[in-house]
Amino acid sequence: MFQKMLRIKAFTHLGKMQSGEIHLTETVLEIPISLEVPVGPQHPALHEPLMLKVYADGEEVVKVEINTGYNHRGIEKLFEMNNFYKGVFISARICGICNTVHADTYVRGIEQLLGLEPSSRARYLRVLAMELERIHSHMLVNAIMAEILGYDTLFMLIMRDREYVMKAKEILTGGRVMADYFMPGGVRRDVDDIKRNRILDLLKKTRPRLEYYRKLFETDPTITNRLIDVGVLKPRDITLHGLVGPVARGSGIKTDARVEDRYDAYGEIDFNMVVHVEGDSLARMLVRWDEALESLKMCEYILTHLPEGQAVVDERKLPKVLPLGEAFTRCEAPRGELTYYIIGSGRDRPYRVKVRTPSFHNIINSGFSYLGYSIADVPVILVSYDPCISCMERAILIKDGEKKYIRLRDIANMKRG
Amino acid sequence: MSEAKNTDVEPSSIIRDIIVKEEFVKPNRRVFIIDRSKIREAISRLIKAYGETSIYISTIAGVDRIEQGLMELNYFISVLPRREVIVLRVQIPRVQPVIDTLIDIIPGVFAGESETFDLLGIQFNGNSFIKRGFFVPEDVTNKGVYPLRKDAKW
Repeated sequence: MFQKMLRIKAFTHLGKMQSGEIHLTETVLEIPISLEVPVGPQHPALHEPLMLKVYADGEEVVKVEINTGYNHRGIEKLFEMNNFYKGVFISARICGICNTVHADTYVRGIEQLLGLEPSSRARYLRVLAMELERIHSHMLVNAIMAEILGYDTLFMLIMRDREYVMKAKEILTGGRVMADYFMPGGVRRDVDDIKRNRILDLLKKTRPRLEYYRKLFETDPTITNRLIDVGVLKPRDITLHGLVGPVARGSGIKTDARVEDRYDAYGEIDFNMVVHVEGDSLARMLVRWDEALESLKMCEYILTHLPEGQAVVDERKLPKVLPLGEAFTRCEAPRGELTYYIIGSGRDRPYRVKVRTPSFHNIINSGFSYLGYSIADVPVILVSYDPCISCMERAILIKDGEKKYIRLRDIANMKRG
Repeated sequence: MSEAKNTDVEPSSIIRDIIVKEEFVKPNRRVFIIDRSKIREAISRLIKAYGETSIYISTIAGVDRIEQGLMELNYFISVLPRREVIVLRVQIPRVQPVIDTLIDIIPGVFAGESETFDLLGIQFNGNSFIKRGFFVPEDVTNKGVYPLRKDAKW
């Protein structure tokens, strides 16, 4: 229905005759009114494999189809086939950028089923790891936004300063990106005073940079001209389409799993829920900058008010069997609400693990929001949702040419071999 | 923007007459088991009671209960002003699992219903957008396999 044809009369060029004169003939041409523009799965404006089929009438977008399935790795099935302790590492590998929130939500679900309660110090350290991750994730998507706008210098600068936070995360967890910091009952590493001071120093360097970039996004016409009034979402659109996280908070919807559930140590640490009401792409980016500053404040508070006690638990004393029961845990990932629904089986493997990531809603359900804007706005709107395709697509089969599962054990053996 | 809706009302009292059984999911989230024909009514009533901007469907989780011969669908619903997540649970027979779609009431179930159909093979009556191959690769969909079912073999 979007491939309407426009019939026009035109002269077509049939080539040069031998005598040298150009031969033209009158024909009727059929020109499609709307053009189908594929954006992705590989595209300069996209950093991850997703396909947006954009139908455009001139410059105006009239329809968007979102095609998925390029990055599906069968992780939900993999959970069902492995020991629930291995699940901690599987969950962290759903997404690189937000691996600690995945591990945290999974571990809290497991703790609910096992009846474990982590110590106060462990809960504070978990929040520290997750908030450091929130800062670097928000810096990353703002850098990508700058790049999409053609402001590559700003991209480089934000990525340079993001390294302060990456280093702080490395000092805390041992990994610059992949943390593997969480375990049922606590965390894997503790911090001492030397590490604590090093992280505080790095955070001190980060703060003025964050404040500067926030001001830049608010005032620089290069950025504001492209973001203001682009991709406006009304509060009603947000809840009806199930959009979550900074996208919802950029449209004035007060939703934040940290405030609603008060999991880990969020009930004891003071922070504000950042809400902007404009609903455009700029509002979403400013929500992220404000949240990054808020997270920085929380990190500094945690490092100066860290409770005493044991944060690391003895793995050998943990239960071997996941009891029957169900747990539904939520977490505010950098991109929005992340949920895990875990069913215990009474054996060492979970019966079912359902992961619902924020991008699953924010990207797949947001096709309506591109309509009426120009083709050049499509990447801007998409990046303002902070797409994370590896999060969005998880669940099914991992197999080789002989059509069988690859288990973690096999992968480990392959590495050795 | 603030609606004059009464957020003090318990979700259970809004749908009291259609609740078959009540359960809990850890940590302290209330589960209301309802008949599968009542799911549209339950969601419509909740939206009407709390207002369109105060409620969203957070997760749709299908579970293959092969031993009972059932498919279970859990709708996790976030009620924002109450800071609460409630669960509506329906059970449908495993052979020919069919349930009414919610897509015309809440378009946000598009992702959840598409995924549940593609991975578990639960049909959503009235949803014309669902298709095989949403996530699952073509060589598996061609064999008619729903990979998250417990008896899936390929």
